Amino acid sequence: MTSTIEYLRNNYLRNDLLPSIFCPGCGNGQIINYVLHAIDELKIPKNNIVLVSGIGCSSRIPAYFDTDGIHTTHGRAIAFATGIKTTNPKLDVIVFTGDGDLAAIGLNHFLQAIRRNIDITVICINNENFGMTGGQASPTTPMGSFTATTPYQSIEHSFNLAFLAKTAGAPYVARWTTAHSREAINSIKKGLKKKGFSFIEMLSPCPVSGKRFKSSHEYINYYLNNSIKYSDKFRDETSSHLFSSLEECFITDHEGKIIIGEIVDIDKPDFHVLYKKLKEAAKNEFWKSRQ
Amino acid sequence: MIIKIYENLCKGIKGCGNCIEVCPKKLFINSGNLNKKGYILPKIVNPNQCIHCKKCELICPEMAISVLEESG
Amino acid sequence: MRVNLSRNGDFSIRGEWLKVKKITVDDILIPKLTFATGNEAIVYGALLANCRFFAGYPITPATEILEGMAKYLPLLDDGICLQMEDELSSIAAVIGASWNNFRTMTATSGPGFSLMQENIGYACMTETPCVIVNVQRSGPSTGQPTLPAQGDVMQSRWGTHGDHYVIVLYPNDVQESLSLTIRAFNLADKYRVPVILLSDATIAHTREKLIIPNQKEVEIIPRVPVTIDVSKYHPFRTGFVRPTKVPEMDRFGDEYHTYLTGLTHNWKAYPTPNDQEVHEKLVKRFYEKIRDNRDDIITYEEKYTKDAEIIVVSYGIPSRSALVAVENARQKGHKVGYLRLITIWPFPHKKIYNLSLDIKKFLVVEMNLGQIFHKVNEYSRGNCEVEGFFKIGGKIPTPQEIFKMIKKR
Repeated sequence: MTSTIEYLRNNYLRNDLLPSIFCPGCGNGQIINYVLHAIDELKIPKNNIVLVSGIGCSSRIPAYFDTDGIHTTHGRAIAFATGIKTTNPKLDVIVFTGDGDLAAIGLNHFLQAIRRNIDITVICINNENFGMTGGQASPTTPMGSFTATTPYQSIEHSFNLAFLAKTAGAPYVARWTTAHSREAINSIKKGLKKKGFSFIEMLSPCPVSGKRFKSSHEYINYYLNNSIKYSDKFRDETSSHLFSSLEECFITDHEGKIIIGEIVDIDKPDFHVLYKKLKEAAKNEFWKSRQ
Repeated sequence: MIIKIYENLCKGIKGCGNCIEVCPKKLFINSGNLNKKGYILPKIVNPNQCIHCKKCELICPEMAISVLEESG
Repeated sequence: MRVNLSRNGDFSIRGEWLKVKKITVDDILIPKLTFATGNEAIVYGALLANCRFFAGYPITPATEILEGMAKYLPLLDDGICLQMEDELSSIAAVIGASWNNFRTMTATSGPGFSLMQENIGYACMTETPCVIVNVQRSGPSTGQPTLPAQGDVMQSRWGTHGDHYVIVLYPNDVQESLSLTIRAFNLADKYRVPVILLSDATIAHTREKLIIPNQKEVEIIPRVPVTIDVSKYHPFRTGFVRPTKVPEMDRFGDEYHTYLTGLTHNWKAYPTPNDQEVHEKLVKRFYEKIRDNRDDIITYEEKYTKDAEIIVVSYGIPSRSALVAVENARQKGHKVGYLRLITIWPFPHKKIYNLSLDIKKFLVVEMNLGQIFHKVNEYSRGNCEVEGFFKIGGKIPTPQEIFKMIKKR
């Protein structure tokens, strides 16, 4: 028996804070919706959940949840999450971060946590700009875009965060848009269950600060009509949008295709499992040296 | 099917309008009415044609749409 | 120990696999009478104080603290030591881990301390207890990495932006490095504030006699947990359960749901950045919880001050030269006193003011170009002369140099 929307809202959210401060049509609300479905379908107890976030619009999400939450400094959410998860591995730690928070200032912590394979689930809400401060270019802004800091078009290539995570060695990587509701919920569930670093990138509408469209339904329409499912032929791709040529990036109204799908799903022993074994072996050596 | 729209949570079809976009049966339209905050609300036409796909429930950023079985 | 990671993910550890007996801190820290460096003493003090999480980054002259914790923490139940990718993530991990009811610590020096400032401010705002060791080296910038200085004293108070309050302690020998580390953890938990333990490259690397207490001889003052009914719980409400300005501290993973944010927040922990009164009340409480308890927090060492005409004020490594100089001067008939600050912040302004009424001069000896000097000047309120002896460049002021300053009229 799936839970109703009313049950999800009443049971998991701080209803005295609703309606949220997010702009009309903001993708953050959809992410809250999907995460609640995922947590509820997996029956994860509320007391066990810790939400960690950085700075940005997407990082305001944890305030609405009636769980433990920590709204940290810009780009450092994953570093805080490392401290939280390693000292209490039983917790379900979910990190909400944005594309600027993760890929600009927080890129190092992102890659290092993948390297350590810390068992957290990172949901990156990618609206392809720095939304909260008014729409400046971020590392995922497609080449050729007009933004507040690239008034003459952006000449920098853009990261495909999911592929970065794959190259760094994350055991679970998925990339969806907020229009792909059911797939996103299933990926979040898989990420929560996976032992090891799970990364779910969600392309998300930003009707107010994003320069692409002025309303969310136009973004939804774009996502549904411009997405390609990931397959091996995209293995060497590095940028976030596919264009047929470099020149095409700079022609306005040419949006490029978005690659989505489950990119990686493997098993890899996580940090805690190895650290436990390390401790046992270290204690062993200690007593042997004292004989 | 009963499709309930929570008007105090809705943020309007101008900035959002996702429900209108995704419904496969096109059951959401512009109601022309405003809620207390001044957002233009959607409304349902022909609720008996609803196929219970729940796409509207999932796509709403405010979780303001609820699709329930008609009881009794 | 070797770990073999096979392709499909299962692995084996070479070496015998026994059900291992628990190791206590007293098992590790033997013999009890030993020679140790200041850095090693800080490690021992942290272990005795129940610190079980350390995250750090190698930097001269604090690297030995990270290495010591990496060696000993895995031996203890619950002990975890992480080498993070930089100082910013070190202090971030330390703050996060503190919310799982761990006593946490990090250690760094000048350049790393500068990097940590944003998150230290975050620890102040969320009232997270943690200990940050800054083994001072000569600056600014890369400076003289292996030589001592005291140039971070003002930074330890005001390094991070905005109105905030931290406690700063500074030992002057190896034994005190151990005891002050224990005190640092107790103060951090009692007042829910980050405590900065200053040291310098000389104390860190000098080997001296150290007496290590047994675990049961160490006083631990833990943080006060939340016990109120869940429906009545509000993370930052004070004065409801106990008459204090320090809120009870929750831990993640239980039925109390705590939301932490660096934004200005009300006592329910909801972000309210646009409310002037809420902000004023919150930030003033950060000050008041320390200021109201100065007598509990401030310690100093005072000698020969009863009839003194000149008092030498110092702290850290130069205070050892200062004491020798003062005692020599006393033997030669000079009326000199000695005041050594152990708590640097909050500054012992009442003590300075009271002493200033009866003396002719304060002589402030520092290894910087004048930082505590200005505070002594301020709180003497013109009652006496204040002179500074400032030595930078990595050489410690000698007793002879200080004696010369005392003699000069």
